[in-house]
Amino acid sequence: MKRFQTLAKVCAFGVVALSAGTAAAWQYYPGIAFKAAYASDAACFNVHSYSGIRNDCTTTRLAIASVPMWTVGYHPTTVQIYGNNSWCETETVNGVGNAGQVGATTYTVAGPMAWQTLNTGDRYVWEDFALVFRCGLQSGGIIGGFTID
Amino acid sequence: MSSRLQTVLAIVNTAAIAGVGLTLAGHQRASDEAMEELRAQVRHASEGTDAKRAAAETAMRLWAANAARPPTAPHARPGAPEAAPSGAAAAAEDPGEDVPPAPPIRPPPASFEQSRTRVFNAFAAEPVDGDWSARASRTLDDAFRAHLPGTSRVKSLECRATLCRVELVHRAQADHGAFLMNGLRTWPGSVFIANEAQEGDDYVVTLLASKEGTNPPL
Repeated sequence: MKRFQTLAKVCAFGVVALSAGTAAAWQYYPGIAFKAAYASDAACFNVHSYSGIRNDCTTTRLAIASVPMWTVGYHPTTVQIYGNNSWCETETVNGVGNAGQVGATTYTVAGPMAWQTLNTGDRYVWEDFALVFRCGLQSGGIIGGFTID
Repeated sequence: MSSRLQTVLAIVNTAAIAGVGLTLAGHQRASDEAMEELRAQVRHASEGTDAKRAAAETAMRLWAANAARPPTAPHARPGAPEAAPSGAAAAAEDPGEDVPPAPPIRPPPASFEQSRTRVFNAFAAEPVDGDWSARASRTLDDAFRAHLPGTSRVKSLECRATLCRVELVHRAQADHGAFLMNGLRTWPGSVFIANEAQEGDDYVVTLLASKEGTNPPL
């Protein structure tokens, strides 16, 4: 009986550990996870279709999203965006709101408005740090979603 | 029925009862002996099981702890020393046939301070790439000229092969935050904010800017 209980415990731990590892491996968030960085721009951002966020103002506005992180190390990041004159970047931030690592700004490709995936780089996350996505979203631009690996 | 027959039946009956009683007593004695032997076996087995269970629990804890950790960072030093196995881990190495083997122990994830030391050391060990360092210094200098507040200044700026180390002096912490949000947008790589410290009236910030397409050894 004790052997059976031990085996059951091992199996349960394994399932939990493997589930946690899988969940931490890749994360997708819809665009509506973004919000206006400044309260005065809140009315600019509206939901597009089911889960995108669109800038309905006439000029570029700053949108921001944050994600708590559970695993220390480098995490590749991307943003799916519709536009031709928008930009995004990612940062690692600590408990007092300061940046630990600031990623390079990645711009959308010029030309007709189009859906694009921006590679916003690998961010290093330490314990008690989180990831922040910042995008300068042009008028009519849409953020469809973003990913963290 | 005659009294003689009754007497014989009574004797036989008494003998039968006595026989059954003796048989039961014998069985009881045998059961007690078997029970005692069983208890001894259980005690013996429990001792082994307790050791196995302790080893199994140690293995499970290690397993769960390691599964929750990420793989080693891609830029972790290949020669980083491995943590020495602890006594608990050593005990978990031979947990028994019904317990999975303990996973190898990974070093703890790097703290921010360790990352800072690594990057500073990497910068110190880098040779100077004259072409890149000149271009990188120019890009950073232009960004500082365009975006640094009037009360801030560049204390030092040095670029090598893939990293530039910059010390900025601000009048206040808020100046640093505002500059960082927008001032380095022309820099094509990532920027590691290695240190921020109030030194007298100055707020000194040390940045390590990485070459485009490279990641610092955090």
